[in-house]
Amino acid sequence: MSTLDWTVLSVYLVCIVSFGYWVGRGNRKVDDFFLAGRSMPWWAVGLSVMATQISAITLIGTTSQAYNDGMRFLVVYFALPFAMVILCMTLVPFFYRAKVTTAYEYLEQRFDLKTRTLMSLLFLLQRGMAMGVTLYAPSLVLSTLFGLSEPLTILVMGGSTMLYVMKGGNKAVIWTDVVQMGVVWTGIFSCFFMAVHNLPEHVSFRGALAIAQTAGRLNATNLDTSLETPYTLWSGLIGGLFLMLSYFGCDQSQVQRYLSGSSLMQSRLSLLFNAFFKVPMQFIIVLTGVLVFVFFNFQEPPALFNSAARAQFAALDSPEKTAAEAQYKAAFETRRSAALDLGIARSAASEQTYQAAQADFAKARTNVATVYKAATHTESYNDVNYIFLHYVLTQIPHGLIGLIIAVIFAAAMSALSGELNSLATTTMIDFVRRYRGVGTEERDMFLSRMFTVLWGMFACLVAMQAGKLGSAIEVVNRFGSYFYGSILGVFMLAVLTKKASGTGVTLALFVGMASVALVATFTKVHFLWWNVVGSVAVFVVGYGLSLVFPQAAKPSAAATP
Amino acid sequence: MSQADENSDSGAVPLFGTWRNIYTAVVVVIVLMIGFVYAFSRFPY
Repeated sequence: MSTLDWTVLSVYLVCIVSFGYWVGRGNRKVDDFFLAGRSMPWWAVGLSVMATQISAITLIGTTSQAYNDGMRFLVVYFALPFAMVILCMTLVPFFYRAKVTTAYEYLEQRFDLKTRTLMSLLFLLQRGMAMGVTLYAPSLVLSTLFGLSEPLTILVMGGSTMLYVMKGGNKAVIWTDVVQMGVVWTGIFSCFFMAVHNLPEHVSFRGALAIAQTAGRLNATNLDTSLETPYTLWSGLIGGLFLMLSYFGCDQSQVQRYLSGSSLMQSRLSLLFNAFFKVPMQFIIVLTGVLVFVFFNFQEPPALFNSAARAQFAALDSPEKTAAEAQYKAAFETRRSAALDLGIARSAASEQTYQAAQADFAKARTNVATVYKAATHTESYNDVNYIFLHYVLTQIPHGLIGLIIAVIFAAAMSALSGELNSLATTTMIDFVRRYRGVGTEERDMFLSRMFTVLWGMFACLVAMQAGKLGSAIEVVNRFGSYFYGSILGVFMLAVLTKKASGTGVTLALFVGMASVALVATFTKVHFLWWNVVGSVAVFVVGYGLSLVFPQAAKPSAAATP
Repeated sequence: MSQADENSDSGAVPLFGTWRNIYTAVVVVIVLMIGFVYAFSRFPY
C-alpha cells in the first residue's frame, strides 16, 4: 500500500469514529441507547440491517469463493425476500404490539421466564463467540497481507468500534452503518468496474462470460434434488428460507435494528428495502469474483494466494518444488492460450480445449499446495480468503486500494457494532433489569456502556486466541448452525399456535438441537437443510409436549396469536 | 400520517398503497430476479 492508500484508510477510520461519537452524543435515556429512541427512518434502518449482515469475511470470502466455485453461493440469498415478507406479516407486528426491546422479552410474555432466559443465554453464547470470529477473520487476512501485528489489527478494528458504540448506542450504530454501506457500495462497484476494465483488449465482456461459463463459474442455479448437493436452488429456497427467518426474526443483532424504527410501518419498510436490494447486491459481488477469475486466466495468479505461505514456498529448495513450479507455469500458459481462443471465438472445440486446460491448471495448483504442505508439515492449507485481496493489492490503482481496505474495515465494523450493541442490550434487558430491577437512568446507562466495553473486550480476546483455538472456531460456527433452525421452531410455536407452552418448547428446543446434531453427524445432508430439520423437529415435538405440559399462566393478549 | 395509522395494517403505504401490493411486488421482483439469474447462467455467450 502506498502513502495515499494509508491516508485514505486513516481518514476513513478517524471520520467514522468521530461521526459515530458525534451522532450519538444526545443519548440521555436507556431507550435512546438501545432503540435510538424508536425514531429512526426506514431507509436508515434498512441500510443498517444490510450492513449488520455483511461482515468483512462475507465480502472477501464471497468474492473469493466465486473465484473458486462460481456463483452457486448466490442461492442462499434467494429466500431472503420471501423471509422478509413472512416476517413483516407475522413476527414484526407481534414484537411491536408486545412493546419489547429484545426478541427474548417477547418469549416471556408468550411463554415464561425460563424460555426467555434460555434463549437469551443461547444468543449471548453463540453471538459472543461469533463476534470474535467476525473480528479475527479479516484481521488475520489484513495482518498477513500487510505484515502488521495481528493483535494490533484486532485492537484497531475492535477498539474503534467499541468507542463509538459505547458513546452513541444504537443511534451511532445505525447512522455509522448508513455511511459504511455507502463506502461498501462504492468499493463494490469500483471493484466490479475495475474487473471489467482489466479484461484483455481482445476479450469482450461476452467473451469473459463465455470463459466463466465453460469453467463452470456461472453455475448459479443447480436444479439437482439431492439433499447432499451443496447450494442447489431448492436448498437455497427452502433451507435458506428457514435460515433467513431465524436470522432476521429471532437474532437480536437484527431484531434490534428494525425495532428502532419510529413505527411498525418504518420497521416493515426497512426489511422490505432489504428484500428488494439484497439479491442484486450479492449478484454484483459474486459476479465480481467470477470476473477476477477470468482476469487471472490472462495474468498469472500466484499458486498460493497467502503471501506468508508463498514466501515460505519460495524459500524451499527441493526438486519437488522446482517441478511443481514448472508444471504450474506450463499449465497456466496452456490455459491462457485456450482462454484467449475461447474468449475471441467460442466453438465446441475451443470449449473442450479450455476445459482440459482448466482441469490441468487446477491439478497443477493443487500440486503446489501439496508440495508446500509436505515441506512445511502443514496439515491443511486454504487460501480462499486471500484471493480477492491479492487482486485488489496487485491490480487496483493506488488510492482505490485504500478505499477497498476501508471497505473491509467498514464491513467488519458495521457487523461488529450491531453485534456489540445487541449483546449489551440482551445482557441489560434480559438479565440485569429482569433479575435486579430497573434502576435510575444514570445507573442503567452506565451499566449499558460498561457491558458494551466488556463485550468488546471479550470479542478482542476471543479474536486474539482464535488462531490457537483452531478447530474450536469451526465448532462455534457449526454450533450456530445446529440451533438456528431450532430457535426458529420456538418462535414459530409462539406466533402460529395457541396451545404451545413454555415447558413444551423448552424441552423441544433440546430435541431440535439433538436432531440436527444427529443429521450433521450421521448423514451428508447439506447444512442449509439442517435449519429445516431443527425447525420442524421443535415445532412438532414442542406442540406434542405442550399438550402433555400445558401452559400454567395465561400469556399476555398482545403476545398470543 | 398519524402514528396509529403507521402502526396498523390498514394504513396507506408510501408508493405502493397497501401492504398487499408491496408484498406482491417483492415476490414478483424476486421471481423475476431468479429467472434472470437462471437465464444469465445458461445463456450461450
